[in-house]
Order: sequence, then structure tokens, then C-alpha cells
Amino acid sequence: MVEVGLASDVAIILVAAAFAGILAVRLGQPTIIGYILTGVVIGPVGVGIVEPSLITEAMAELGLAFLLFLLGIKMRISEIRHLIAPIVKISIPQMAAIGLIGFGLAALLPFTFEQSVIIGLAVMYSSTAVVIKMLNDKGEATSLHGKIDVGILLAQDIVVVIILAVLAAGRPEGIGDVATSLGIVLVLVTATTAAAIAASRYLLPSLFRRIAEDTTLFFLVAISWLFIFVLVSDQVDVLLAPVGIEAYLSVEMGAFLAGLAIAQLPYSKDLQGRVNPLTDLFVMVFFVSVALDFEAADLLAYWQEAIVVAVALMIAKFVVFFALLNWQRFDLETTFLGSVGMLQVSEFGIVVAVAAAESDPPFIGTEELGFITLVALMTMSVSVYFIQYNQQLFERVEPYLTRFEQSDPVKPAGTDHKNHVLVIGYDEITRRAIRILEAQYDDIVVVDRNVEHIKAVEGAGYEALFGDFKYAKIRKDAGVAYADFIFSSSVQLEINEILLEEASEETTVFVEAATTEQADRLYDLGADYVIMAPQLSVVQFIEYLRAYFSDRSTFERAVAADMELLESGLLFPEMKDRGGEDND
Amino acid sequence: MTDVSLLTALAILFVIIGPLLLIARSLRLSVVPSLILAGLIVGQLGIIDEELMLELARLGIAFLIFAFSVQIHTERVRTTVSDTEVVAIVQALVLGALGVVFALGIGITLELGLLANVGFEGTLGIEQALFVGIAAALSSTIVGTALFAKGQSDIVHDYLSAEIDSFNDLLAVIILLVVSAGVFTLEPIATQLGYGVILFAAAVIVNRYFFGVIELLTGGSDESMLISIVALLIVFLAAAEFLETSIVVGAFAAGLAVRDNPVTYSEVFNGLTSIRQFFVAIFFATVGALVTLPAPGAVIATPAETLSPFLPVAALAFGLVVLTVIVKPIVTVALLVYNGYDRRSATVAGLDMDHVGEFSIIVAIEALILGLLIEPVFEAIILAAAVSMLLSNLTQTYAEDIYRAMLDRGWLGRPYHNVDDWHTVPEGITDHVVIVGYGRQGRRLAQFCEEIDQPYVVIENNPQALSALRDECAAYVLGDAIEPETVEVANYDRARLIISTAELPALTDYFLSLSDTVDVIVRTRELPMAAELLERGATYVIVPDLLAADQLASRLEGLLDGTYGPEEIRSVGLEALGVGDTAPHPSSTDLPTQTDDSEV
Repeated sequence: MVEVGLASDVAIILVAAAFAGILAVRLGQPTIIGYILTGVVIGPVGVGIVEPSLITEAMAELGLAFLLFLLGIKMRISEIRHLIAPIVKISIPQMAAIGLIGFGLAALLPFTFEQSVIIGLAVMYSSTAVVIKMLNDKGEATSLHGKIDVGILLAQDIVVVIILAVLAAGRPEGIGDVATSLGIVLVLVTATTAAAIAASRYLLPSLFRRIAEDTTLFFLVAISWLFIFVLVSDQVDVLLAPVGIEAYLSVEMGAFLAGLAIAQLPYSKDLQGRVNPLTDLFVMVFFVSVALDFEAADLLAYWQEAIVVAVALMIAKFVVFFALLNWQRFDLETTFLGSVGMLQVSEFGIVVAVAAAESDPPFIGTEELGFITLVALMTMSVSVYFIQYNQQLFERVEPYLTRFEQSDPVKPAGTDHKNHVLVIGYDEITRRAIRILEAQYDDIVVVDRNVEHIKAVEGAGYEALFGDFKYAKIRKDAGVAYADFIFSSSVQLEINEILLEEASEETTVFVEAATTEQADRLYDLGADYVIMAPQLSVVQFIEYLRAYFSDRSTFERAVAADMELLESGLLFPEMKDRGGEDND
Repeated sequence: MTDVSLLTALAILFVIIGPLLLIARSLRLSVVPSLILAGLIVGQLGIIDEELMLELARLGIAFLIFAFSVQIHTERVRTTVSDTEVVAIVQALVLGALGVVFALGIGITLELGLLANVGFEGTLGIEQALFVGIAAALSSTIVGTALFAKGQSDIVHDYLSAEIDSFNDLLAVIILLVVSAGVFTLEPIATQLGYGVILFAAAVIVNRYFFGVIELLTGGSDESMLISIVALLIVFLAAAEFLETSIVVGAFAAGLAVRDNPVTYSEVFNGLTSIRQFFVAIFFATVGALVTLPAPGAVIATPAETLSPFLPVAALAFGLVVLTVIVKPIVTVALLVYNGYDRRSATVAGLDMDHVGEFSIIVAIEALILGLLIEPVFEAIILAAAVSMLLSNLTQTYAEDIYRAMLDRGWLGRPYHNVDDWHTVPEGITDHVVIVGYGRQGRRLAQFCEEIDQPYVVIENNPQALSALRDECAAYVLGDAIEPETVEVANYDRARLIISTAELPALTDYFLSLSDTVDVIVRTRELPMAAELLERGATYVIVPDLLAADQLASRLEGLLDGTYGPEEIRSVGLEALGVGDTAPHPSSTDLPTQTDDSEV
């Protein structure tokens, strides 16, 4: 009854993108470039073996939704609060300036007023994907200039979603119309934001606390949460039609707010690691499918103009960012590195352009869309090298920039862990170890995937990190490479192997093993001590038993002491309804 | 309203999945049946474009098989067949045969028109009956062990069900190969097996020669590696499609082609897990959506006409549920007890696999797509799967109570002791130490008793421990610790001390009831529980972490205050490895190794 062939378009896209991705990695280009070029090659511009299908379109839409969801999950307000003021003061004038420059450049070239407006709106953001990926690869994401860049990118993304929502409302018929759509959009955005924030205050904490330990359930419910927002924002016109309001919200905005609501929970970091791969996969399909709608003629229609605009924009972006960062009193190095990172036009520029092209009637044609895509492609490719060699570049130009040096620059807020104790999995053994270790260490970080344990750890005044140590994101936040003492009570061999691989030579590492073979292996990998809890406990128990048979009063004392300890409530609370399967 | 976009359909699906999963969680039900249920609901809305969803769903199948295959080929392949696998084979054969016979019975009833106006399109012949048999025979790993958050686990029955389940999974893959032959005649099956062999050979070649190249080329980029592995999977799926064999075979081969290296590529494998979970959720929901239930409105309006095509479906489903939920555990328990396992472990293991497994669902959906299975039988299998999985959750929760109830009514018969020396306890033993469980701990305790010349009796319920017991223990009983025969032989009442190294509540409760006359030491890993057990009369409670922490504390303090150098602490640890040897068999008392998170 059901005829199903394998989604052949998806298959070709995947295989081609895999090759392109490998090629891009080898050539030191961001994978995005590889994906977009894949679309160019296999789509109508190139050999024309793939056409957009229902499945590729759905996957591309999912890709965008997931990308914004992921972005939302990363927006932990408490972590960027101290940078919010400078970031707002930088990003708003920056977008206005670059938007105007983009508009001006386009207006000078053979574009209409309306097209120039869209071009201006499309080029004012820098690429989240490129910048964050490069910063992560270089380990600079948590440096001061990294944080500033990330903050500005997030501010830009908020503007993107608002613009997308306005564009989704269709062509305005006058300034009043723009105001009405903007008004409705702002009301809807505010309402959705309020709903998201209310949920993150009142609904989600208790909800996710109950399920956070069950990884599958946690992941699927989070995705379900995302889709509630996607569905509402996608169908808001249908929902509001009975009341006579014509309104549109972008799926991206909904996805972003769904993520934002989760971001404020302690479980968000864990979720990031789980959503990331799905995002990678679907966003890949999105980038490939960007070019699927183009004919070669469209993409290259304005190639000369594109080169001019690309060069001009990169210079303009650097100057604007440098001036604004300097104005906000960041030190010279931060100002330079922060500016040099943001030279490219964002993939969101393409998204905005696509939305403008798909609006009914379209604001721009496919040729203008091709122009914007080409500009984004070129600026992204070039900017990758600027980020790659940003330090060397700074050393070269520093002598010429000394007059911009601040006398009293903003200091980076030190939140990173160094020379600390890292504890993986909180149980009675690690609790005792922490009590001993705290005599020598001030900074103790505990990673656990049990909600109750996290509460207990925080209650005891240590820093707690909710998450699965298997995920690189969690390990990075826990500062594995910089720890002085690592104590793992996970008996998952895989986790301990990863741990030993990433810990530095000087770090003292205690790990736990379930079997002798595992212990052997962990010693081979460089563990300083492997805890075999069952063996240790037997040794101790036999001491007690010896007392039981030969010296009853010693035994009674031991029992009384343990009884006292058990009743004292000094121990960490164990979840009563679960077994021991959660302490990783 | 079928004009809904795929994204909207997916969104609606997941919006319904979320709350259902939450409800299921609070009722302690597992994920898979909840997903099928969500699909059922969405299916009735009529917004799902079946073909499109099936394409996404098949990616779910592919990822499920792929993950299974990646994990299985890294485990050492054993050449010996253990007694549990014999149990698995016989159990599958018996249930399969019963399923076929039952389905044929229904088919003949329909054919003869014994019930007026009842029937559906298509005939329920031997081919259809075979699929019902397959569904009855196969339970599976994922529902059986991983999805249900249990309290303390009793390792003997856990490993029993795990072994039987993983055998079932292997069987399912072979069946899928056969099913994909399209017809049950000899020649195409041979061709299909030939194609299968070609794909597997290609997989081995990729694994040996090309995978290293991919690793080299992706140059440590997790994203690129992830996409490459997904692409590799897709290539194998396409090859399978080209050879007109099942994508299951392709996915299985692809799994063999990938080198399992969860340490170096932890992010890649984490990524595959997320992607798999997403598509597998879509898969099970789609399966549910393919089932058409009679509309409630129509049932009220025209009950006879609406229900008549559904009646045989319901009958088939009901029969399958009875077979899997009631008959299968009985067969399993009988076989396990016959093989020397105690009645409690056998019962609990039997109740672990009383459901239609998800591999049966994959077999059914592949057969449906290939046109081998008619829709009513498919629907019956899916309904039976959902219901039996839900019931399976229940029986697992109350396994211990079910065992008690059956034992009290004498339904479990007498313990079957197929060896003469099932115990070696001297008659009239008194003032002895009873050691329950012969795992790492129990073994060390027995050694200690011998050191101080204290008479002791070891109680162990795993028949695989028998040879060790014979060689090492002066006195042992092979059997469940609270079965009357064991109690009698081990003479608990006259013992000096009972040490239970098992953490089963049932055992703990029983021993505490003896605490007025005998000293009782029990074990638990839950601290609040330990305090409670002490209050209830335990002489001492073994809390492994607490005891281990005492030992460890002294070593750690030594390291910090400089008594030990880093080298010394290492050598102390290395030395200790020689002392604490591991148990040669799983015992009910060994700390279970960390179970994986429940994953679909």
C-alpha cells in the first residue's frame, strides 16, 4: 500500500556535503562554505541532479529552527549580564551604521530603493556560525573579545528575528502599514517572550527537574517544547484569523524564544550538546538548499558589484567595530581582535534575503538574492583567515594603533576555572573526598547529572554543573585541561578514558573502575589512583567483621559511629526511587 | 486537511509526544509505547502524509539498526552457545509456532465465514501467519532492559534477559534479511543472502581500509566526521535499495563499516545518539499513525458495519498480547528453571521480556512496505506491540509481587534441582555464618571465615557459579535464599550471623524478619534506606560507598599531607589490583556496571 523510496535528494545532498565538508576542512575553510558550494554544484547552477523537494525543504526549515533554538539555549542572561550595557551600546549604532553603508553602497550601484533597503538590512549582521565556530576552534570563545563578539552576535540575532517577522507580514503599503505590522509583531513578540519567560520561571523548572536525568525523555520533551513554539508561530495567522487579526510570527523567532526559556535552567548546557548535532545535520541541508533555488545566471548576475560591496563592507565593518569598541573603553587588543572577528556578512543575511524574496509579492528578485548570497559567501571565506591569524595580525599592526590604547580598560570578568578540583559524579565517596580536598583548594567544581545531587552540592557551597561529562561542552565548562585535581566517581570506562586523555600531565587524577581489567587500563592511561569501591568496601567491612568476632565493643562503636553519620543528615540526599545509574 | 506542510505535521507530532511522554513518565511507563500512542492520536487527525513520514521514519529504522550494529560488532563474538541462548532459541521457536497456529486459526475462522459480516480485505494465509509468529517470538533489548528505571537491579535476571534479548535481536536481523527477499521461496532468499554477504564484505573493506582515510581527511573536525558517518550510512542504504534488499541490511552493514571509537570521537557518537533519538521517535510515532482505529462517532452510529473489519484485527492483537504477556513468560520460566536457575530469577527474567519487541515492529513495517503483509495484520501487530509494552512495564514493576503470589499458590511447583550436589551443608549445622551471594564480596567473606576457622554456608542462585562453589566452598547452597528448601538446608534459625550481600528488598525484608533470633547484616547503596534498615533491626548495614570512602579517605589524606608520593599511591593501587580478583560470573551481589541511560 505504501510506496517508499529512499529520500534520494537527501541522500545525494548528504553524500555530496560530506565530501564538500571534508574538502573544506582540508582547505581550512568553514564547512558552511563547503555546504553552500555543494548546493551550487549539485543544484541547477551546476550539474542539476538535485531539486528542492518537500523533505529537503522541511529539513532546511528544521535546520533554521534548530539553529535559533540552539542560540536561544545559549542565552544565559546571568553569564552575559555584565556585558549587556556595552554590547547594546555597540550593536545598535553598529547595525545602524553598517545598514546605512550597505544601503548607500547598493543605492550607488544599479539597485532600486527597495532592493537597497533589503540589502542594507541583510548585510548588517556578522555570521554567528562562522564567528562562534572559529572562536571555539581557537579556544577564544570565553576570552573577553570572544564574549563581546558572541554578545553582539546575539543582539544582532534578536534584530534578525524581528526583521524576519516584519518581512513575513508581507509588503507594506505605506509607512502606516509598516507601523501596524511592526506594532503587531512587537505585541506578538512581547507576548511570546512573556510566555517564554513566565514558563522559564514557573513551569519549566519543576517540569525539567523531574525528567532531566532521563536523557531520552529530556531530549524529546525539549524538542517537543521547541515544536510548541514553532507550531504557534507558524500557525499564528490561523489562530488569530477568527479574531480578525492578520498577523505573522517567524518560526525562527518562536524557536529562539523556546530556547531562551530553557537557557535559564541549569540543564541548558547539557541540552546544547544534544541539540548541536541535529542542528549541524539540518543546517547543512539548509545551506546546501540555499543554492538549490538559483540558476547560475542569478548567482553571478552582479558578481562585479558583489566584489566591490564585499571589500567595502569588510573595511566599513572593521572601522565601525573598532571605533565602537574603543569608545566602550575596551583595551586595544580586545578591540582589535573583537573587530577583526566580525568582518563577514551573516548567513542570517541570506535568511533575511530569502524571506524578502519569498514575501508576497517579493521585495527582491532571485538575482538580488544571488548578489547578497555571493557577498556573504565572499566575506565569510575571507574573514575566516582574519580570525585564523588574528593574533599575528595584531602584533604587526599594534605599533600603529598605540594612540587608541586605553588608560583604564575594562577588565575581563574572570569566571573560568583554573587549578581547581574537578569532581565528576557526586556520591558518598566524592563527598568525603571533597571534605578532605577543600582544606587545600578553594575552587571545587562538581559535575553531575542528578538534579538532587546538584541541589545538595550547591547547598554545600560548591559550584555545581549539571550535565553529561561525555559532552565536550560540559568538559570545557568544567575546565578539565586546567584542573589541578580530578576525582571521577563515574565507573563508565569511556568517560574516564576521555578524562585521562584531556587532563594535563600534572593533574592528579583519581578515577573509579568497575572491574580489574578496567582499572588496569586506566592505570595504563595515566590514572594516579583507580578507586575500586567494592574492593575497598570489602577490605573495610572485613575489618569490622574481625571486630565482630574478636572484639565486640570495637564493632559496636563502629556501628554506632556509622549510625550517627547516617542519621546526621550530613550525607548527600540520595534519590529514593532510583538505582545507582545516575552518577555520571 | 492533508495540505499541512511536513514541518507542521512534525510539529504537531512532537507537540503531542511531549505531554504524553510526561504522563507516561509519571506513570513510570516506558518511552516506546508512549510514542506509538502519540502516533495513534495524530494518525486519527488525518494530517500525516504517510509516504513522507515513512521516509523520515525509515531513517529512524536505519539509525536504530545502525547503532545496534556499531555496538554489537565491537563485542567479542563468542563461538560457544550458552545455556541462556538455548533458552532463547527454544523460547522463540515455541512462541513463533504458537503465534503461527493462532493466526492460522483466525484465518480459517474468517475464511469459513463462521462469523457473519466479520472480515477484512485479503486472506490471512500462512505467510501472514508467519509474521504473527515472528511478532510473538521476538522481544527486544531496548524495551526489555533500558527504558525502564528500576530500583536496585538483580544481576542474575538482568543478564538473563539481556542475553536472551540480544539473541532475539540477532535473530530479528536474520529474519529481516529473509523478509526482504520478498517471497518465501528458496531462490530469492539465496540471492538476498548473497547480496547481504556482498554488503557485509563491502562494510568490512570500508572498516579496514577506507575508514582510516575518512578519519585522516576530516582532520579532527567533529562536524565533518559526523556528516561523513551519516553519509556513509546513507550510501549503504542506497546500495541496499539498489540491490533491492532491505535497508535494514544496509544499515546493519554500515554499522559494521564504522569503527567504534567512542573515546576519540565522543562528540561524533554523542551526535549520532541525538540524531538517532530524533528519528527513532518519529519512527515509532509514524508506526502508531499508520494504524487506523474505528472512529468513535461511526461506532456509535453504525456499530456493526464499523466494527466488523476491526474485529479480526482486535482478535489478532488480543491473541498476540496473550501470547507475549502470559504464554511467553511461562515458557521462559519453565525453560530457565529446567536449566537450573532459581524460580525467582527465572520469573523476574521471564517478566522482563513479555512484550512484542521493536524489532518485530521493524519486521512488520518492512514487510508492509514490501507488500508481504496485509494492512489488518500489520495493525494488529502494532496494536499488540503498544499494549504489550505497556503491560510489560506493569509486570516489571510488580515482578517481585507476582513471583510471591505465584509461589504462594504453588503455581511455580518445586524448585528444579538438576544437580545432585545442589547443596553441601552438613546436617544440623549451627553457629555458622550464612553468606548470601557469591560475588566478589561473598567470595572474600568466605575466605575470611576460613581464615578464622568460622563455619559458614554460602547461598548463591546462579547455576554458572556452581563450579566455583564446588571448588572453593566448604558448604554452599545453590538456590534462591528465601525458598523454603534453602531455608531448611541452611538452617538460618541456628546461625550465628547472616550476611546478605544481595540488595534485593525481598531478601532484605526476609532476613530482617529473622533479626530477633539471629544477627543480620544486610546491604544497600541508598543511604536513607540504610538508616531505616538499622532501625528495623539490622546488626549492621553494608553501605559500599560509605565503607569505601573510609578506606579512600586515609589514602587521599596521605597523598595530600605528603605521606604518600604520587608514585607510591599509584603503586598501592596497582598492588591492590592483584588482591581483589573479580568474580568469574555475574552474581546477584556484584555492583551492576553502570547501565546506559535509557535510550531509544
